[in-house]
Amino acid sequence: MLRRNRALTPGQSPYRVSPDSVAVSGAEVTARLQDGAAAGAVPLRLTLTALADTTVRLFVVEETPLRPRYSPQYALERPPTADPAGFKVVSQTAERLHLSFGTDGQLVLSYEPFQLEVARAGTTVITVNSAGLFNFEHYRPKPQPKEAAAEAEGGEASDQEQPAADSEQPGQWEENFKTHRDSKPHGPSSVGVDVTFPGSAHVYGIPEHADNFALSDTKSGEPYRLYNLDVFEYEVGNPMALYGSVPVVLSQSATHGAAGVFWHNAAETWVDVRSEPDSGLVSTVTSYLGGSRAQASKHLHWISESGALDVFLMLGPTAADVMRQYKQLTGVTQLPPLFALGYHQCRWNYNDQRDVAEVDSQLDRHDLPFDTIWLDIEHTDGKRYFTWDSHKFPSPEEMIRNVTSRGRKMVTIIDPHIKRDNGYFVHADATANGYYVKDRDGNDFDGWCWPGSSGYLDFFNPAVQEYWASRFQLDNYKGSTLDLYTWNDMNEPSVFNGPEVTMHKDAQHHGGWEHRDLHNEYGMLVPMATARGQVARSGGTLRPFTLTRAAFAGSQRFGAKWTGDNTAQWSHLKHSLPMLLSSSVAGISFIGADIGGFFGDPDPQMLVRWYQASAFQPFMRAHAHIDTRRREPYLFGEETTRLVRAALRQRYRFLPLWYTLFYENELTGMPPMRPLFFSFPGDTSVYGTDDEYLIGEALLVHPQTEQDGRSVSVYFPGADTVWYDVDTAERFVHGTSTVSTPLDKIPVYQRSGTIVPTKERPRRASAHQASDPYTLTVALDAAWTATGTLYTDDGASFSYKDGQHIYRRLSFENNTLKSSAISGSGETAGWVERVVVLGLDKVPKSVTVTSSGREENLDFKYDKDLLRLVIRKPAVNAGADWSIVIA
Amino acid sequence: MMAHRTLSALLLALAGLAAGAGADLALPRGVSMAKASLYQAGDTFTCLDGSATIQFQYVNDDYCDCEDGSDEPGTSACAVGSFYCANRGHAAAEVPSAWVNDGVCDCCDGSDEYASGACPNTCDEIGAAARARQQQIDEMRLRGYEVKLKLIEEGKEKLAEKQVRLAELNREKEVAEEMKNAREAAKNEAEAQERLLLDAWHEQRRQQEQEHEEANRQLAEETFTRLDVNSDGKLTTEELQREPKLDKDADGVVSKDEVDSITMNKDELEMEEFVVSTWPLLKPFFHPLHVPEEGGQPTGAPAAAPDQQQQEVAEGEELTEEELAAGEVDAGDLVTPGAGTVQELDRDEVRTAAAKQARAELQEAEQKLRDIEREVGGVESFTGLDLGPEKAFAALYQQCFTLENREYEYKLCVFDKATQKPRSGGVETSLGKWDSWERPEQTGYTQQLYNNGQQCWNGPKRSAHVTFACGEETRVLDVTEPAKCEYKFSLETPAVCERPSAEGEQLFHDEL
Repeated sequence: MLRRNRALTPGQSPYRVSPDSVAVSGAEVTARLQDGAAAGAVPLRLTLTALADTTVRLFVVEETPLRPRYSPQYALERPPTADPAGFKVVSQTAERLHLSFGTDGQLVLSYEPFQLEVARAGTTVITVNSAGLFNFEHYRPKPQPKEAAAEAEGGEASDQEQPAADSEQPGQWEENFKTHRDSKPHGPSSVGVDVTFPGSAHVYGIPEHADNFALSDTKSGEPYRLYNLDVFEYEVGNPMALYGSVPVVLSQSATHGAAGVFWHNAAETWVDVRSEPDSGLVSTVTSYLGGSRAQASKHLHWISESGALDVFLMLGPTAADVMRQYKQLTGVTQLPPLFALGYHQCRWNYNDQRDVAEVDSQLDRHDLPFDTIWLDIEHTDGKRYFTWDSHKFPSPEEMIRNVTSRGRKMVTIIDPHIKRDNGYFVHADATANGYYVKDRDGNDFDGWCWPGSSGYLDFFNPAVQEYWASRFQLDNYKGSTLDLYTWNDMNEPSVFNGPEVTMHKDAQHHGGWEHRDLHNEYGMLVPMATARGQVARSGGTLRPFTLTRAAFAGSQRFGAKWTGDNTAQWSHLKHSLPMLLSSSVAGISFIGADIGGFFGDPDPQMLVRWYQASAFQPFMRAHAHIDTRRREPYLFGEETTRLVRAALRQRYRFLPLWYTLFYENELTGMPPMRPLFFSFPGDTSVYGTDDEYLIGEALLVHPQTEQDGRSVSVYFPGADTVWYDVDTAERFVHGTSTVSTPLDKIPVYQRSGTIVPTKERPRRASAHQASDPYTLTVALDAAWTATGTLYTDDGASFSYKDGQHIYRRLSFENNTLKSSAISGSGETAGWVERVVVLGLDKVPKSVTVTSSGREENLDFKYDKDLLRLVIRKPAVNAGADWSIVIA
Repeated sequence: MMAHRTLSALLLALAGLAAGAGADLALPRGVSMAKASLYQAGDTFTCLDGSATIQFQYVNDDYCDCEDGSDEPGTSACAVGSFYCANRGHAAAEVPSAWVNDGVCDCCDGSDEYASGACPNTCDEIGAAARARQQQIDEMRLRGYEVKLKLIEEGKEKLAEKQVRLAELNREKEVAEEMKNAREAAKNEAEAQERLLLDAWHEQRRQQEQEHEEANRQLAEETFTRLDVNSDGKLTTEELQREPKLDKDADGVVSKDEVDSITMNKDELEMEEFVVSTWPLLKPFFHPLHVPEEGGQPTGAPAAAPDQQQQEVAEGEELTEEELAAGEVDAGDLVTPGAGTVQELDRDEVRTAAAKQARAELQEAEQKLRDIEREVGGVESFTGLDLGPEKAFAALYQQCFTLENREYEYKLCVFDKATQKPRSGGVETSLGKWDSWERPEQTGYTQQLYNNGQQCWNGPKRSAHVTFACGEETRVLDVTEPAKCEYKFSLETPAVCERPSAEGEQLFHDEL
C-alpha cells in the first residue's frame, strides 16, 4: 500500500467533486467525490466541518461502503464542537465553493480537480490535494481465484508500471512478511492525500522517531513511518517507526505563521515530507485566497493502510494557537500528582524487598533526593501482573509503607499481555468472558511475551476496560496501596513471535475491527484503563500516575510517556532532545528519556551529563537493562555522587516552575518543554534548533551532550533580551556565546522579563517541600518590567479542579513587585522567603513590603557587579495579595 | 586512645554543665552544648566561618544569612548546616538542616519536627532497646574477639608450620636439583654411546631402501618392455589387455575397464609415467606379497593394503632426534618400505639398556623436583598473602563456607574461589577466583573481591564482592546478585572482630 501510494506522481488529480452534489448546511458541507479517470468509479462522500477555534475537518469515506471504515474511538476527547456560526457562503459557482467561517477563516473547495484551500486572515495556510496525490482504495469484492493465480507472477516492476488504477496487484489480498502471513480478507483499503503548508520551510511532530526535531525531506530515503513497534536497540537519525505514533504536524513560518494538521487514523501510516522549490512537486493549486504563491512550501504526503480519510486542519496563527486547537480535539495532559515531577529511581530489576530497602536508604544516606522506586517485571509471580513473587516480595505492603514513610511512592509494572495459565485469575477471567483479542480464525490470539505464551486483552471492549480498571482496587490488587502507581510497558503491543514483534494485522478486535485498522490506538487504551482504575480505587479523589511506552494522539490525557529502550551512547543522549521536543509539540508533553540509556553501561561522565539534561526535561527517570551493571548514582564515588546530587537539587529547586507549567499546560495545551520558536517566532534562525530549548517562557536550556565537551555554543534569542545564568546571574545578550561546561555545569538561563518561582531548601523528596518558602527571581527587561505565574495545590487530589488551588500572577512594574490572584481559593503554608531582582542597575535605597495592612521595611543586599538585589524575607504568604516596592 | 580520652573528658565536662546550669542555658534550637559558647546571646552573631556578622535576632529566624548555615542551626533555611538533636535517653545525633520540619521523624526526641509536633519522643524506648542491642553486640564482639585471638594463634601456627615446611622443601629442592643434574649428565653420556649405534642403524636402513628402490625400478622397466609387444616405447590399452594376470574378475577376459582401473583411463603410457604411476598399482598382480598360507583367500585379490598403509606411515613421518631420544615412537612405526623383503633390527634393540635406564632415572628426578616446586608455590602463595592485621585471616585460608537458598548452594573458599551450584543438581558455576582485598585501608580488611568467574551470557564474567562483619563463628549470612552476574557475599567471622573498648563506650552510654 505504501508502494502503490508512493508510486503516484504529482500532477492533476483525477478526483472530482460533482458540483450538483455539494450541499452547505450550517457548519457542514457534503459532496460526492469520484475518480473521474476510472470507469464506474465508486462514489465517495466528502464532508467538511467548521469546528470551533478556526479548525476545519475533512472526512471522506465511500458513499455506500462494502465494509465500514474505522475511525479512532479514543483519540478525540469528545466529539469535536462545530463552530456555532457555521460556514457562510461567499460564492458558489460550477467550479468551486468559497466559504468563510470563524472570525477570519476562509475555505475554497475546487471541484475539478478536487482541491481544498484554507486561509486565515487573508493568508492561505494549508492546501489539500494540490499535488494531486489523493487516493482512495475503496473496498471491493475479492477477485476470483483464477485471476489471483494469474497475478501471482507479478512483481514490483509491474506494480510500479500500473500504479493505483490497477486494483488487481499482488499483495493486496494476501501478504507474507518473513514467516508471517497477513490474510488481508478485505483487500486493499488505503487512503492518502497530500497536504501543503505554503510559505513554510519547517514542519515538526509525527513522533516517535529518533531523528531531528525539524522533519527531514524524505525524497532520497524512506518516509517517516508511524506504526507502534517494540524496537530492539533502535538507531538514531532514522525515520523508522518506534513505540509511539502521533499523526500530527506543526508548521512554522515567518510569513505564514503556524498551522497544524492532525491525521486522524490509527492504521499503519507513512508520511513523505518534501520541500518546494526543491521537491519538484508541481503545485496545481491556483490560490483564490491570500494573494501570491509562496516561494517555499512543505508538502506532506499522508498514507494509511485502512480507515477513513479524516484530516483536521488547524489554522493557528501562532504555535500556541495550534497547541490549543489540538488540545480541543485530543485533550491535554492532566496536572500530574506532584511526586510524578520528581526524580524516579528505576531498574530492571530491584531484586527483592531488601534490595528496595537498600536502594532507598543508600539514596538517603548519600543525600540524593528522589520521589519513587520502581519495580520491573521480575517482581511478579512468573510475569503474572497484579501478583508478587512471594519469595522476593513476601510483604509488599510493608515494603511500600517503608518507602512511603519518608514521603515517597512506588511504581510497579503492569503489562497488557496475560500469561496463558489456567491457574492465573486474569487469564481465567479473560478466557471465560472472551476478553482476549482473537486471531484471524476467531480463536484467542496467542503470542509470546515475557511470560511465554500470552493472551492480549482487547481494550477496545468497554467491558475489558472496566475489568482492567477494577483490577486496581486495593482488594483486587493484593499487596498494593494508594501509594503504588503503574507503569504500562509492551503495549504496542509487543508480541515476540509476531511480525515485526507485534500483533498480526488480521487479528480481530471488539466491534468487528481488524488489528490493522486500530493498531496505533491499542497501546493508548492500556494507560487509559489503568488511570481510570487508579482514580476509582481512591473513590475519585486522587490523581492517577501512569507511564506508557506506546502512544497515539490523545495518549497525553492518561499520563506520562518515555522514549523506550534507548542506549548508553552519547548520540542517544543528544537525540533525546529532539525526540522530547517532537513529542511535546504533538501534545505528549509529559515525556522523558531513560537516564543513562537503557541498554549498555554509561561511564560516570555520560551518566552525569544525562542526569543534568534530564533534570531540565519533563519526566525524569533513571532506568537500566537487567544485563547492565548497577548504576545507582551513589555507586561511582564521591565526585559523581556530588555531581548527580547537584543535578537532582536543580530538579527539586525548580519544581514550583514545573508544577506551574504543567497546570498551565492543562489550561492551554502549551507543553512545558518548548522549541525556541514558540517564544521567538520571528527569528527564523531558531526554526531548526534542537540542541537547546525553553522551559515555559522563562528558562533556556542547552545541555552538554558531547563526550568530554568542555563548552557549548549557546544561542541567546531575542534582540532586546538579556539572559541570566541561573547559577551565577551572569548576563548574556542576543547572539551566540561559548559557555564553558565543566562537569558540574548545566547551562540554564532565565530570560529577562520573567519571574521564576523556586524552592531552595534541598529536601529529600517533593512531599517534604510542601510547606517550604519560595524564592522569586525577577529578571527585569529593558523597561524594568517582568511577569510570571505561580501555581500550587495539595499536590495529590482532584480538589484543584474545584478551586482548591492557588494560581497567582506575579508582575513587576513601576518599581513594584505584585502578586495577584488569577484563580483559586486554596490555602498554602508556602511563603516568600526571598526575592531576587536581576538587572537592577541602580542602588536601591529602601525596600518595603505591603500585605493585608502590614507595611514593613525589608533588609536587602545589592551586588552592583551582578546588578542583583536580594530582598530578605518578605515573609508574605504565597497565596496572599502583596506588593513590594523598591525605592 | 587519645581521641577517646578527649571525648570522654569533654562529655564529662558537658554533663556537668547540663546538670549544674542546665535550666539557665537558653541555647538556640538545634545547637549542641558543645557549641553553646558560640551562640551567646548578644546584639550580633558572627557566622562560624567568619563570613558575616548579623543581628543576633536573625539567628534561627528561618532565613539563611550565613554561607555555612551556622545562623540557622534550628531551621531548614540553609542548604548546608545541621541540626543537633539531644535525644536524651538515647544517642545524640546531628541531622542535615533539610530534614528539619520535613514531615519525617528523624530524631527520636521529635525535636526536628517542632513545627508540627507530630513526632513523639521515643528516645527512652529506643534507647533502652538500642542499649540492650548494643550490649548483646558488645558481648558478641567480645566473644568474637576471643575467638579471633585463637584464630590468630591458629594462623600463626599454620604459618609457622608452613615456614618450617618451606625450609624443608628448600633443602629437599637443593638435593633434588643436584640429583637431577647428575642424572642429566649420565643420560647425556649414555645417549652419546647410543647415538653411534643409531647412526649406523640409520645408514644401513638407508642403503637397504635405496637397493630396494632400484630393484623395483628395474622390475618395472622389465615389465614395461615385456608388455610393450610392438616395442614402440608406448603401452597401449590393447597391449595391456593381452596380459591375463590383469583379469581381476577371473572371467577369462581382460576387459577395458580392468585395464582402465590401473592406467587411470589413459590410452597410452610412456616408460617414465608407467614406472612412477602405473607400476605401484600393477605390481601386486605380478608379485603378490602375502600369499595366504593356507590358501584362505583367492589368489587374484591383491592383499596389498596393509603393506601400503605401513609404507605410508613410514614415509609420512620423519622421526626426529627428540622422538628417538625420548623413546616415544613404538616399534610398529618403524616398519620399512617393502616390508617382508628386508630383514630388520628393531630400533629398540639398537638402543642400549644403559641409555634407557639413564632416561628413566632422569625423568624420575625431574618429577621429584617438580613436585617440590609445586609444593613450594602452594606454600608461598599462602605465606605471601596479605592476611590482614595480625594475619587474622591465616586460619581461614582456603576454608570453605556455604549457604543454601531456595535455588542455589553458594560456597566461598576464602582466598580461593566463590561458586554457586543449583540445588536441583547440575554443574557448579564459578562466581570468581580470589583477586584482592578491596580498599583495605578504608574498609579495614573487611571486603574482598573474587573475579574472573564464568562468563555470563550477554554479560560480563561473574564476580563476587565479599564483606566480612564481626561474628562468633565464620559463616555466610547472605548472598545476593544486585546486578546480573555481580554477586555479594555477606559473611560474619571472628577474624574482623575488634577488641571492644569497654571503658569509653560504657561511659558514653551512661551519660546520655
